[in-house]
Amino acid sequence: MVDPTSTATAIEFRGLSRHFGATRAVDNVSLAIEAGSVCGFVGPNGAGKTTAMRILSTLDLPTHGDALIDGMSVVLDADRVRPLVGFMPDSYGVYKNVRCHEYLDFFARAYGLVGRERERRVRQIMEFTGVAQIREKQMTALSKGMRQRLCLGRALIHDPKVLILDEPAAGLDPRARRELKDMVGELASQGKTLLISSHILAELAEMVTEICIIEQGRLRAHGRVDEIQRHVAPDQTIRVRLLDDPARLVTWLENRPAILEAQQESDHVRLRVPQGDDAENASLLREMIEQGFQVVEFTVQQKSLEDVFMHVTDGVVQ
Amino acid sequence: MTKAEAMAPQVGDEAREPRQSTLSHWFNPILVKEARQAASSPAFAGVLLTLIAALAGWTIFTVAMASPTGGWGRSLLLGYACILSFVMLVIVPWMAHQSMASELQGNTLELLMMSSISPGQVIRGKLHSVMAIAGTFFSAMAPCFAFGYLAGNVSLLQVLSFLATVLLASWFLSSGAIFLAALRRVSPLVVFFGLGLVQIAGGIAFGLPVWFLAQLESSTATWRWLHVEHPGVAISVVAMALAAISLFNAAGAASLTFPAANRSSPLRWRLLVLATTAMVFLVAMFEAFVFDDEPVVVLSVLFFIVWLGIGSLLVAERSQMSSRARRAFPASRLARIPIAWLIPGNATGYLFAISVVWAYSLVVAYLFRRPVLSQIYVIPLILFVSASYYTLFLGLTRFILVLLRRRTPRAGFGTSFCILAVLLVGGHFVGWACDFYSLYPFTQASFTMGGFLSWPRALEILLTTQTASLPMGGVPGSGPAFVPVLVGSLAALVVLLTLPAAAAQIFAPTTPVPHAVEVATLSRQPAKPTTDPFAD
Repeated sequence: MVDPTSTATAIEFRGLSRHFGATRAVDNVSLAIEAGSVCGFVGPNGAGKTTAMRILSTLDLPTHGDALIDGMSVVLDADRVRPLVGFMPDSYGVYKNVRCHEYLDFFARAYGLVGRERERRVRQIMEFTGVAQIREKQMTALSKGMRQRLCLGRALIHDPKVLILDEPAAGLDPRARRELKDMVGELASQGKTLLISSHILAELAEMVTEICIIEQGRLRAHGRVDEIQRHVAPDQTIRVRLLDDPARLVTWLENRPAILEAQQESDHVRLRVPQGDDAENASLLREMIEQGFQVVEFTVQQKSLEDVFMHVTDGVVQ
Repeated sequence: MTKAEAMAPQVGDEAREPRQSTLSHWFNPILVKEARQAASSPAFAGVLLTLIAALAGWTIFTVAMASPTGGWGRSLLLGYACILSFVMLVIVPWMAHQSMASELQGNTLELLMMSSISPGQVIRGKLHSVMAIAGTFFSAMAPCFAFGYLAGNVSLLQVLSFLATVLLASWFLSSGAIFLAALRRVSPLVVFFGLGLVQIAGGIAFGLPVWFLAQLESSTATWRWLHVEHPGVAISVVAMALAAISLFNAAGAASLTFPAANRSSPLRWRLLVLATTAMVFLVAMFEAFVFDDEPVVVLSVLFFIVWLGIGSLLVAERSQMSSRARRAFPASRLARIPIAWLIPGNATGYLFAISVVWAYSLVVAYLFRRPVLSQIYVIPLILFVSASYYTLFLGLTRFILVLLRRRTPRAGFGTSFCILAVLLVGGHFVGWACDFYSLYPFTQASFTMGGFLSWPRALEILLTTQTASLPMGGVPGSGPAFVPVLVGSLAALVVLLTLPAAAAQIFAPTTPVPHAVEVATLSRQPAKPTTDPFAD
């Protein structure tokens, strides 16, 4: 089990580049992800996410630079890195004539687990991923969602410190996505470092503590989600709904210097204020109530991760 | 139970552990998986049932058709041998190929490569699992062979020899099939070599059982190879087959490995063992039988041509070792000297290839040192000139490739092989144009002034079998006397010119470049502070 209190760097890219001929799939990317973080890795198709993840998983080698897992180079110490990483690729094959528990047992053996430790681990992973009920079922007969669970189990079988999930929610129904999100939450609570790529940004936003945005192989943004949101939008929008006439609130707000803009929109007021912390917003709400406004709704509307993504990326495909 | 609880160790787990499969803990994981897959595979069950049905059918047919005077036991055994040969030499290698190919096509190999399993373990696991399946087929046939032995007029040695040969041939073919399936990049050149390999491997693997079958059918079998007076021949044949299997495995593992890894040293080790066993075979044959000159020349030409292919592969290696490969070698320069020829690099590869060829030439020259026509030592001289040609042409290939790579860095094995072919054919044409036949390498014609050189022959040099069987016409040793001296001197010069490059590769710095330096050198833009989310 990973020590959740550890704050060391779990994943680090150092000038990482991977070129395929003239195409620069990953181009001089440098970043560090702390242990215990859940990092979203987002970017348009062909941005270089999968390539970077494959390098981290020792399935590919960088053209220049290096990537480190727990301080160990994927280039020079690949044998020592492999036990530390669990990778769930976006597409993976299944074996014919192999049952679910045999599949996990095989990979447990492949990671060097022996004897009772291996059998115990297989059972634990089957319980965790919810495939214990179908342990005797052939892999080829599984639904997409169950295959994803099994593949997640395979990635977890050796208890890695770092888990890399490439499009784990692709093709899953809403229930399976919700269950996947719960599993990610459980893993995060165990202190594992997760790097997740996904195009379903709304759900990703609920899972991650930080994001990396990559486009055309270059890092566009990296940091905590709220930091990036704040950076993308220097001001924020607050939606206020009253029981009484909203026009009076607009007049009151226009006289306040901190309010950049106030507009009445049917039964509510939309106001634009500079990015601040929650205390400032609470203070504004308190003042409204003290002025006698009957506030029934006060909503701070942050830029969504999708807005951030659209703002940061150019939509160029290479 | 919550998921977190599920991940935590359970009290009482130890007590509930099943006692089964304890032995399998220590097996190759691939072997265990493949065995499980085979156990529930309809294809495996189908082959096994068909095999049993064929055996039963043949037994009933032979016994029903048997004459009252007897003598049907030999026919019974012959039929069993044919069925077993088909299964072991066709079905089993095909299963081996499919097993590896499905791993690549099914996109499951990558899942293995990111685990703790090495590429070598993957290849060995596949081979062992296929041989375990072959063992199942074998065991199904064992009672039939026992019955045939009891009913037929054959010796136990014959039956056991046949079974051992088929098993070895099946193992050999299966390892070749796995190697071919493991090739990731399939280029026309790979297809060409693959077909050649299949032809050679198939020829050898089928040839031996067929020979044994012929011996089985014949009531006057001599079994000279297995005669107690000449065990060295049989032992060296088995050793060669095992060395070839090991080479196939290493080559298959290399094809699953990154180019940045050290793929050369394991292959060189195995090539060395294979060449040694080939030489032992030659010595054993020489000790057991009286050889004429002609088969020796044919064997030598084949050896040289095989090593031309291997040599062009070795000189196509990169001159600079990757940091990953460098890490595998000792830091001490003194410690590297004993393993100098195993260190990756085109110059060391060149020295490795020519050393093997010269060692072979010395062994054969020693065995055939007797004078012919009371003038010269024909075989040693042929070997000297051929080895010199080999050294010269391979060295030139390396130099040309090094120059080419300055413009075309991606030039590799295909290019080196083409350069070598051009040099060989070019040498032939020069000899033909100048009426100077000694420039025609690797044939005894180099020493004759006889005129059997022509346009078709010029093209035939590309066909190895024809080259090997060129007529031994003309009068040996009647060529110009200065040719061996000239070719030998040029070869020595090429070796001397290669030595500095080889030394640079052998004594290359071992310690990996620190990451910080690499990054600083490679990335011109320094990383921005992490507080800025828009790094870069």
